[in-house]
Parts: sequence; structure tokens; C-alpha cells
Amino acid sequence: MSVNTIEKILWEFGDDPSRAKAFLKDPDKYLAQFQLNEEEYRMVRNMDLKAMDEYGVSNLLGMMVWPLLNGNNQLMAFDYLRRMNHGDLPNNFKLPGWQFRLIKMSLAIRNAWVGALSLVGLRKSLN
Amino acid sequence: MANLVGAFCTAHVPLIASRPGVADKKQVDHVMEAFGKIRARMVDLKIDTAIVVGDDHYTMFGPHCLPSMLIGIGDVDGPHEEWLGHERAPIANNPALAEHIMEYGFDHGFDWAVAKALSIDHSTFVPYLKIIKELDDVKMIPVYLAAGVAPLIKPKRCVQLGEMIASAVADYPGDERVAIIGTGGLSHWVGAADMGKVNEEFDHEMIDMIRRRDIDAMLALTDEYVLETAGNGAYEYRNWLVAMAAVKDYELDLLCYEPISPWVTGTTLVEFKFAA
Repeated sequence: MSVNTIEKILWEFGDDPSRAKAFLKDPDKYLAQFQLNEEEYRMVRNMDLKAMDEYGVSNLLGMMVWPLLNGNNQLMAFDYLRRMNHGDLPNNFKLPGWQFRLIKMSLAIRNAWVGALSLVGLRKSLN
Repeated sequence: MANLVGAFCTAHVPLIASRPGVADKKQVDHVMEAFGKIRARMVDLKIDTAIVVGDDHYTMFGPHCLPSMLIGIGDVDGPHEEWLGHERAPIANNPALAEHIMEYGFDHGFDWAVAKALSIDHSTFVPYLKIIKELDDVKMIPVYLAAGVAPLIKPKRCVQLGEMIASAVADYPGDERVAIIGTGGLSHWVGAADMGKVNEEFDHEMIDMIRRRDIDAMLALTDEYVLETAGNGAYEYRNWLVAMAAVKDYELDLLCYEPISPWVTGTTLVEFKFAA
């Protein structure tokens, strides 16, 4: 039970992506093999990036596993950054205003779509 | 004996290998020109072996084993990361010199971790791609430090390591002409909430310290200060310290500095020109 175990879980996703698939398929079954306390279990089960960051888990690992679990697409880095900033996306990459607004809108549409799919049980939402 | 005749430091931003065009073209061109200048100097100096100092980003090594310092003495290939968009391929090492440096280190109090076969990550692959791969018959010895994943190597140890590597090269009976290339930062927040931010003030202060070869000032930086001011990626000044310490007296040639937010990094390339 520690940051170290969470880092092991995340690192193993990157080392062997079939583990990430097994986690996505049945998170509770997958996590049963690790010693996690209740809060650690919640963080990993929900892939709560910000909570893991605040708990001391390496940001390198959070950034590595996020695309493995959510698909590596053009919006991934922005979605990651939004989650690391409590839901607000800062324009840290200094994009032109129109491009930044487009990305924010695309993210909102994507997340609404994912939420709808999760509601009707067509997609397992991580959080 | 072998001679250390060149020393450089370069950024190792993964986007240089995967998607450089996400950044402003003028800035990208400036960085690529600087890589070209290093290549030209490597040719001028007739360098045949480059010791490239990088750091793992929790891709090569896991929580089960985190080497403080590691040398690759045998087969090398790369890149480790598929997402860089380059097919993994063999990279020529100089195993005889690498093994000599390893043994010299063992004899002088440096208990390296050793890789007999190593797939390198972007930290040494990017300099390989932009410098070494484009030159004829230059071999590469990879060295990895714990400068990205805690527990971090102590900066003072990096200075000692750079001095030891220089002595080991000088002790080698071959006729190699060797360069050392430190890699990484300056300021960058990797995977953190501030990812994309660049602290130009910190970067220029660091460049000034490097220009003066003010190793004492760099050793006085605390990890807490570096993390707060310049992000977790700035810990990579440790890689630079190795290259700086390997050269006792130099004049800094600042080849470029670009604060590139889309690359999430204060991006710098320099040469340490040896004093006559």
C-alpha cells in the first residue's frame, strides 16, 4: 500500500499494454492482485490523474498511461492537461485563440459523447 | 591514448523526433540549424565516438529497478518508445571503450549499473537521430542517470562522474576522438499541471551559470527550488553537469535558446569549446 504500488501498476501498463487492456476489461479483477488501501484503490480504479499527482505518483507515469487507456489522438494531451487542472484547460501551449477555442469545444463534445455512451453502458468510463 | 575533444549539450524533446512541426517554424528552424552546427563541429573535430548522457522517463526502467547511473557496454538499439514514430533499429556502440569506462569507474568508486543490451529512450535517441545518425561511422556510448525519476542522483555525483569519464577516456589505449553530449531541459513541466509553461528567466540564469562554468552555483540549487521554478523536467541539468565537469576549461558557444511551449521545453543547444 503506497505510491510505489500505484507506480508499479501504471508502469506495468506501459511495459505490457495487454495489462492495460485487462484493466479496462475488468478493473476490479485486475486490481485484486495489488495491495492498495481504499483511497489508492479509488484513484487507480477511476484513473484520477489529479488525485494521483497530489498523492505523489510520478507525472511521467500518468502521462504515459493516459493515452494507453483512452486512445492516442490529437485531443489526448489537452484532455490530460484539463484533468490535471481540475477541469479547466489552460492555454499552456500558447495556441492561437481560435485554435484553443476549437480544441476546448472539441473536448467538450467528445466528453459529452463518452459520457452518453457510458450512461447507456456502451463504454466503460474510467471517471 | 584516446582524447576527449568535443563537448556539447542538447535538448532531447521527443517532439523533435515525432512531430517537430507543432511548434513555430522559425523556432524549429533555429533548433535544427543548431543541430546542424553540432554535426559540422563533430566532423571538424574528427569525432568517432560520442558518449551521450540522458535520463530515463519511467519507460526503460521501472519501480522494480531504478539505476542511479548506468552505462551501455554492448548492443544498443532504439528508440524504446513506439510513439516516437521511428522503427527500432540497431545503433553502433563502441563496446571496447564503453567497457573500459565501466571498468575504470569500478576501479575509482563508481558502481555503475550496466546494460549489456539496451533499447534507448528519446533522451539519447533524439541526439542520436539529429546528430550521430547523420554522420559517418560515429559510434555512441549511452549513459543514463536518474535525473527524471526519483530517487534522483545527487548533482555532486554527476560532477564526479563527468570528471571520471574524462579520466577514463584519457586512460584508454586506443586512438579514439571522443565527444561527450549532455542532454535535456531547461525548464519544463513533464506531465504536470503546468505542462507547456517555460520559465525563460530561470533558463537564462541557468545558461549564465553554464557559461561561467559555475558548478558550485549549480550544486547549490535545491530540488525543491528547481521543481517549483522550472518544473520536474529541469532536474535534467544533472545530465549537463556531467558534460560540463568533463571539460575543465571551456568557452560556451550558445548555439540556440528557444522557449517553445508546444514542445513544452526551454530548448537549448550549446558547445563547450575547449580552451587552447
